[in-house]
Amino acid sequence: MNWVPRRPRVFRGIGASWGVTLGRVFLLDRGVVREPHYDVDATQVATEQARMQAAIDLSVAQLHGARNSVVAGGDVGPLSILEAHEMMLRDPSWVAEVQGRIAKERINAEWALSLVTQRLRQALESTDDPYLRERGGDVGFLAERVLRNLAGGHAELRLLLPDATAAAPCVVVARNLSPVDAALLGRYQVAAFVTELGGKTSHVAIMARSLEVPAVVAARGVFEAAGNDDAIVIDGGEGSVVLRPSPDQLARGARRAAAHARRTREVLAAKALPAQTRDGRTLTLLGNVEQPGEVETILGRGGEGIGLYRTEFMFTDRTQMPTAEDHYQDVKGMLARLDGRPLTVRTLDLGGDKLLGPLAYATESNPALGLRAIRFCLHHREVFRAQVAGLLRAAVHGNLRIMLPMISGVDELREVRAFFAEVAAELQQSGVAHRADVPLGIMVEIPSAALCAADLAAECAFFSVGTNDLLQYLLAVDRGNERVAHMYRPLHPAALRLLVSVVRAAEAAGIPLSVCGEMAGDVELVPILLGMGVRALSMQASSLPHVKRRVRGLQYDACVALLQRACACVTPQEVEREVKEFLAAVDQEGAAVLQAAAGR
Amino acid sequence: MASACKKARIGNDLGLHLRAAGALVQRACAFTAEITLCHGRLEANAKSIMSVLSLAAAKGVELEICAVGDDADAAAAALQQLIEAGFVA
Repeated sequence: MNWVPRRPRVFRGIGASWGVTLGRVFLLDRGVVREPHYDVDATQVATEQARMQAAIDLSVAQLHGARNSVVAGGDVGPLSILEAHEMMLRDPSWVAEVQGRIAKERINAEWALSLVTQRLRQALESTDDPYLRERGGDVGFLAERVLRNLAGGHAELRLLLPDATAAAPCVVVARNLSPVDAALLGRYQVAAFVTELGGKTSHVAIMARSLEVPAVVAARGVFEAAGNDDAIVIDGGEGSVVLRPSPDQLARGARRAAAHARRTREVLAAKALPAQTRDGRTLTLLGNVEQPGEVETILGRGGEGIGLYRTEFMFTDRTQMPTAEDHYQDVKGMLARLDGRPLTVRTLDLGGDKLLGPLAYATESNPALGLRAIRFCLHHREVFRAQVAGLLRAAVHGNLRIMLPMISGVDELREVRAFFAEVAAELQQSGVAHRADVPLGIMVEIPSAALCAADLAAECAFFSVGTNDLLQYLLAVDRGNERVAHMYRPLHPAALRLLVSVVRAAEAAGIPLSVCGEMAGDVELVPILLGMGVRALSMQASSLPHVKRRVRGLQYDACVALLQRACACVTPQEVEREVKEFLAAVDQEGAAVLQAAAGR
Repeated sequence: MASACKKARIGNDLGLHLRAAGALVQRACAFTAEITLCHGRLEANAKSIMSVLSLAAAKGVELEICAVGDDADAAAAALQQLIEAGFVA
């Protein structure tokens, strides 16, 4: 046993899951796996191959067992990862390659396994993509499991975690955790995770975030330095780990843990409170959904309705084009779930390549600028007719608004309006119950529409600003292209000025406006949007409590002043600096208010 | 013997990740055709998850799908659709 200095040690890693915890170390040691390499003669080949097959079969059975225990525990998150691992182990061509190496090179099972997995790991770990790089680790975990089974030892970590009722919370410290470990640990009361390896997308990070416990990964050296039961402070926000903290470090950790706990409570408590600034300006917070089943999640997180229902799954999840009846039933069901709360449905926002199959379409060299969304619908009216008819019929059942994607100008809007009137007339003629006057609005996501916002506002019922596409088209940047992704800047002066002009156009025409792109769910950008005069934000469920909390800490007039300063800037960097300083001041002020409240 | 080749660009953020590769292999196994995925000079057997993973294909990569066999056309088209739909079946 190495002598461990009993003094405090601080480690820096990557904060993979938010939160601060004080606890006791629980070391999870996988130990070292034996990996003997030796030559075999022709008579032993069959024996080695049989050992290999037995070890693989046993490994598959173990993964299967872990999967079942996860299912029994009611947590299905990691299931598909475990399934994929099972598939990898069962992969016939991979197994054949290992078996082939044993026969051809006359080597033992362990050696053949490590040669084959090494090549695969190298391929994955040499990519630039961080997610795929970490998948090299998946291959490593599988190889390790098979190796342990070849050696006849225990493939599972022995999980003798301290009792959940023990005095100090248990912080698991490990070199690395496999998805199986992560899935099994998820069922214990682990207060935090620290690993030496891994990244933000490793399984332990994903699991910690889903359990909402802090995690720090890539904290090099921590495993060697820690001893069981050592006191430990982990901060998943800043990515720090303090082993055997001094009284000062402990006090700081306790303060931060208390602040974190308070914040979590506030975020959850804010669910029922209005999204109102300190000086009384109220915002409407709505959710973006892709499937009807997400409605409950949005409402559970404090959303007041659905600001963007993407209907694409209606088209991609089936072999035949949906009928008017399909659309009607789908939206009617959504309206029933929402019980009077608003629902904004976006009509089909896909291109023909995804819908009619690749055979029907010549591939477009530039799909982002091609025949998609409303352009596609106007070109394939039979597809659009079914959706419009279904929506007009469903509208009698609740608070429905219809939103058109990718409108480029007034001509297109008029064409769609005429088509809506045509469909309504047909419904009228056949005596089908419907609502012809459903509010019809547009997504403002093409710069031409933003520049003609005043004209468009005169002829539609509402605007929803799709910031993702608007920024992409405005700045001519594809965020998926890593060579230019850094140029995608929501705080570019051009973006600010254009957004302000759109908001003003909506105000002048007296129509409601909401923002439904990623900007709406970004707590750092909320003050700028608020300052512009935006009154409604639509975002993914997980952002709702955080945005609400941010809104409740802001002063509307200060946001207006911030926007004025930002609009005077000439570079994105200047705007970003203004916003950063503003947020720092807000947070400081917030802390002072809390302290004053605590002192009273 | 019929053959077919199609191209597909990987659009989902995580690239050809574990579950995506699993979904692709499952789909490929439904056809009798031999299916090869090409990424630059790398080639993979579409019916082997280890082989597919070894392509290490990230978001934005264009894959060529080459199928040989009686149902080659349908196989290549089905995989192209799956990849372009972001691996949601």
